[in-house]
Amino acid sequence: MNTLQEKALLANLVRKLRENGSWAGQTHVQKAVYVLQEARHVPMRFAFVPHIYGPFSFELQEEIGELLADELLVLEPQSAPFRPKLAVGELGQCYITHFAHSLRKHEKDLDFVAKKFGKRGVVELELLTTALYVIKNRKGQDQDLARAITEMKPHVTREEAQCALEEAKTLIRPGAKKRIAASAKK
Amino acid sequence: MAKLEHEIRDPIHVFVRITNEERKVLNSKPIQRLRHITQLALTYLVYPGATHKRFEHSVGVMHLASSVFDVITKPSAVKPDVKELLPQLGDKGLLPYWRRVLRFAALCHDVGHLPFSHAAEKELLPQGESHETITKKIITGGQMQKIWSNIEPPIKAEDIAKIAIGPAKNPGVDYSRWEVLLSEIITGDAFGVDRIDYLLRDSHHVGVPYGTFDHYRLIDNLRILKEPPSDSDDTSNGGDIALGMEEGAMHTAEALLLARYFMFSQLYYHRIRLIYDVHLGDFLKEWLPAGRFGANPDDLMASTDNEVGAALWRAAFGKRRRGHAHARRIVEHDHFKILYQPTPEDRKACPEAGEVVYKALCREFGEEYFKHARKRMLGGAHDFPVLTKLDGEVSSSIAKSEVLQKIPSISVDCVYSDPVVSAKAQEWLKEHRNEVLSQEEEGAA
Repeated sequence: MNTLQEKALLANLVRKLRENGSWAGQTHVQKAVYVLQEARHVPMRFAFVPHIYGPFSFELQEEIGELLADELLVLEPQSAPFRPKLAVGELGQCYITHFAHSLRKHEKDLDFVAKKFGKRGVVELELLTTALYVIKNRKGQDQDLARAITEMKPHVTREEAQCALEEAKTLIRPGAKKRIAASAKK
Repeated sequence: MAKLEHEIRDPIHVFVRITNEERKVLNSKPIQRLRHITQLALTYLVYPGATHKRFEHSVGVMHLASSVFDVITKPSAVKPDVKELLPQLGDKGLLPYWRRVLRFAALCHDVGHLPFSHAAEKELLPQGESHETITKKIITGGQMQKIWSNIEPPIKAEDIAKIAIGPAKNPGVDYSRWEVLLSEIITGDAFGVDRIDYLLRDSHHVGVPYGTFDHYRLIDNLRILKEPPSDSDDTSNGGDIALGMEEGAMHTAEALLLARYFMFSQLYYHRIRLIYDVHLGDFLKEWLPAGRFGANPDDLMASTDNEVGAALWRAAFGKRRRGHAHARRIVEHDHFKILYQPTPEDRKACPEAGEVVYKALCREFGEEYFKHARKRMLGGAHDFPVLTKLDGEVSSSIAKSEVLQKIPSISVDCVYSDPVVSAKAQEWLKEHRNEVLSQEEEGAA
C-alpha cells in the first residue's frame, strides 16, 4: 500500500467508524488502526508502543496531523468538556472515491473493525487493544497474559483482563493467528 | 569571590541567568558550534535580518523551560488528582534534580542539527538518522559525559537525552508519565518552549510582528491537567495528563497559535525560502562525499554553516566545482520560479496534483528544469486541557474556544521551474493541465 492509498484508507476508516456510531476521536482511530494492522493484517506501516491508553503510534499521530493539514479529515468540536471528533473532509471523500479500487481489498476488515468498535468508548478500546498487545508480545498461558494486563493497567481486575483476552482473540483474522504466535515467540 | 551565577543579555528575554555548571555546558564544543548554525537556514536571502543562530535560541529555550517548570510545580498550582498521578511533584528532594535536567536538556535540544538546520535533513543523513538521533548521541557521548560526570550533584546523561528528545522521536525507550511531561515542556505541540522561543525570536530578527504574543501571561497560567474525556463513555476521568492552561488566559494560547499560523504561512513556508532550501539540498547532495553527512557526532562537530557557506561560495564561481549549478542559483539569486500550485479543484480531481504535474513536466521537458516542494504545518490540532473558571473541571480547548476551531491548516504544494523554460512550460501546462490531472493512475504517486 503506498502512502496515498494509506491516507485514503484512514479516511475511509473514519467514515466507517462514524457510520457505525463511533465518537471517532483520535484515540478511537489509534485503537482501530492497531487492530487493522496487527490483527487483520491490513498492510500499514505504523510502529505502536505500549502507552497509558493502550497501544499508541506517534507515526499515526503525525499522519493524522497531515490528514488534518490537507483537510482530508476535519475536527468536529463537541460541547464542553469533550474532545473533538474526527470527520471526513470533502477532499477525504475525493480520496476515498479515487482509491476505491484498492480500498475494496480491505473493505471487509474495515467493516469488521468499525462494527466492533462503533459503539464502544475509549476505556473499553484501551483494554481490548492492550489485551491484543499482550497476546502479540508476551508468551504464556492465558492466566500469565491476564496478569501482564493487570500489571500494565493496575485498575483492571483479573476477570476483566481475562474477558478482554477472550474478546481480543476474536479480533484476529483467521490465518493471522499463526503469524501472531510466531511474533510472540520472538 | 567567584561568581555563582552569570547573566547573558538576550534580545527576547533581556537577562538569562545561568549557573556555573550550566556555563560549563554552554562552553562545550557542541553548544558553541550552534553559534555557527543559522536558525532559519537561507531565509536571510528573503528576509535579510534572519541571520540569528541556534545558540541564542538554545539559551532562550533553557530560560523558558525552567520558567514553565517553576509555574507548573508550584504547590498552589497543582490539583490533588494530578499530584496523585505524579508523586514527583510532592518530592521536594527530587524536584531540583529534574529542574536541572530540564534546563540542560533545553540547552542541548538542538545540538544534533546539521549545517543550515533543517534543510533537506531526511535526504542528507543515513537512513534512520535525524537531528534528534544525533542529539541523543552527542548528549550521551564521551565529550559531554566528561562534563556531566564532573557536575555535582551527579546528573544522568540518559535523563537529559530523554527529556531533550521526547518519546515521539526516541523509539524503544520507555518514558514515565513525569518524563513525558518534562519533555512536553520543551517539545510540546501546544506550549513547547522550543516553539515559544522560536516564534518570538524569529519574529524579532526577521522583522515581522506576527510571531509575538503575551508569553508572560501564557506561561504564568500553564497548569498540569488531566486530559478531558475522549467520549461520552469515558469514565476514566482522563487517565493521562498534559500541559494545559487556566481558562482565564485562553486568549494568550489563541494568540500563540495564531502567531504560529502566520509565521508558517508568511515566513517558514515562504515560497522563495522553500526553493532556496531545495537548491541548498541539491548542492549538498553533490558537494558532500557520498552525497550525505555522516551521523558520527565527531564528524558533525567539525561541520557548520561556515564550511558549507565557504564551499557554496567557491562552487558558485568555479564551473568545475562540485555543486556549481545549484550554488550559483543561490549566490546569484537566480532561483527557480513558481510555475504551479494546485487549486482546490485540482486537488479534488487529483489528490497529489503537485507531484503529478511535476512528474509530467519532467517527462516533457527534462527533470533538470523542475523542482517540487511539499510542506504541511503539523501539530495544528490545538486540543489541550483547559481548567474552567466556573466549576474547576477540565475541558477540551476546542470545545471552549471558537478561535482555535477556526485557525486554518497550512499545506503547501509548489512546482518550480528554471526561468529558461518557464514560458514554454506554462504554455504546455495550460494546454495539458486537465489531461495531466485526469490521467493519474490510482497508486501512481
